[in-house]
Amino acid sequence: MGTSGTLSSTLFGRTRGAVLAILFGHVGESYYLRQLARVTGIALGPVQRELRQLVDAGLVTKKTLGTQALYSANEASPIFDEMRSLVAKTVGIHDVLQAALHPVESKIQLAFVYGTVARSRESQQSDVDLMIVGGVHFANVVDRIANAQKTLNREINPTVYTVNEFKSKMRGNFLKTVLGEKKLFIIGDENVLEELGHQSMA
Amino acid sequence: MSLKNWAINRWLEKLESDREEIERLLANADGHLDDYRKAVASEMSTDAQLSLAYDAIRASATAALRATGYRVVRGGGEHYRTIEALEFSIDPERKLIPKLDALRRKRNTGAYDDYGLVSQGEADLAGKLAAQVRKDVEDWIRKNHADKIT
Repeated sequence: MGTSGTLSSTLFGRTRGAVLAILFGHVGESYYLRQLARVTGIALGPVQRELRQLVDAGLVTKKTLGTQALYSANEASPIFDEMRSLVAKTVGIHDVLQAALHPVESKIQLAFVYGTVARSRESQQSDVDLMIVGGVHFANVVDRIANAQKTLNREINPTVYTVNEFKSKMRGNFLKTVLGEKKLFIIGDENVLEELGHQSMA
Repeated sequence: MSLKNWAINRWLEKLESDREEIERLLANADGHLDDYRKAVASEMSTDAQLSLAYDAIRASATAALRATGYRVVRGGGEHYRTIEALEFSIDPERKLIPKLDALRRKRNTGAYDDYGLVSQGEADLAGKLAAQVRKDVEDWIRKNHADKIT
């Protein structure tokens, strides 16, 4: 899964990706132009140009409040669900978490998001449930994801298992449920998960 | 931010405390720490271990806050604020608070939603931090509110 950076820049480009990540990462919330420029760290002009195109394309709605415009993801767009999923897997939660975990990546065999966010059924306040399997410590992960929480404006709940613990807990109710649900892989993929599953049966 | 600002925000309210209350809270933390150690020795579930260690952390954090003469306003995320308020006592640089808060959320998830999710490493960290917070809080009270501890 080392290709998401290329994927996101190929699909969206920097400014569009940053704007979509905020708007589709916080569906139901509205942002002023200046607010978007501040949060993304991109100048007003480029952000304004992107917003104009996204509004014209029907992906973003614009509401005028007094003298200012408020922008939000257009939930009535016919490709809203697909966009939200694509954004989450590229410039949204996926990229932010991958960047946060990058310094400890060599110690991690598998990391994925599960729960409401992975199912794209999250509310504005939904936490991000993050499963990590490997030799990294929980305290280290908490330190690593501190900035990601601020960027995503969501609390991230990590669970960190060693490989052996993960394998043994695969038979328990909690992991059985999690593994049966939709997942958003951050490090590793379905093949790594299957391999761990086979090893736990051996 | 300061304790006064928190009170202005109506997250805290002023309420005098005394030695008896503070020592009762520290004894509460000790009780939970003892139970945590018994849970480890008898190989109880990691969820139970983390929950007991967390209860010790919360009791110690409450002792630190009460020693200042404030308490969390009811109905305002009492556990969250109590942990966050350690910034005004033992953890001004917030090195511990993010970890303690992550353990708080994990304890809640284990207690109400997903039993069985706590890993051994997480339970061990909770136990280690519970002992550290208990000690740091007592040291801090002795230094800053000596009249409230024997």
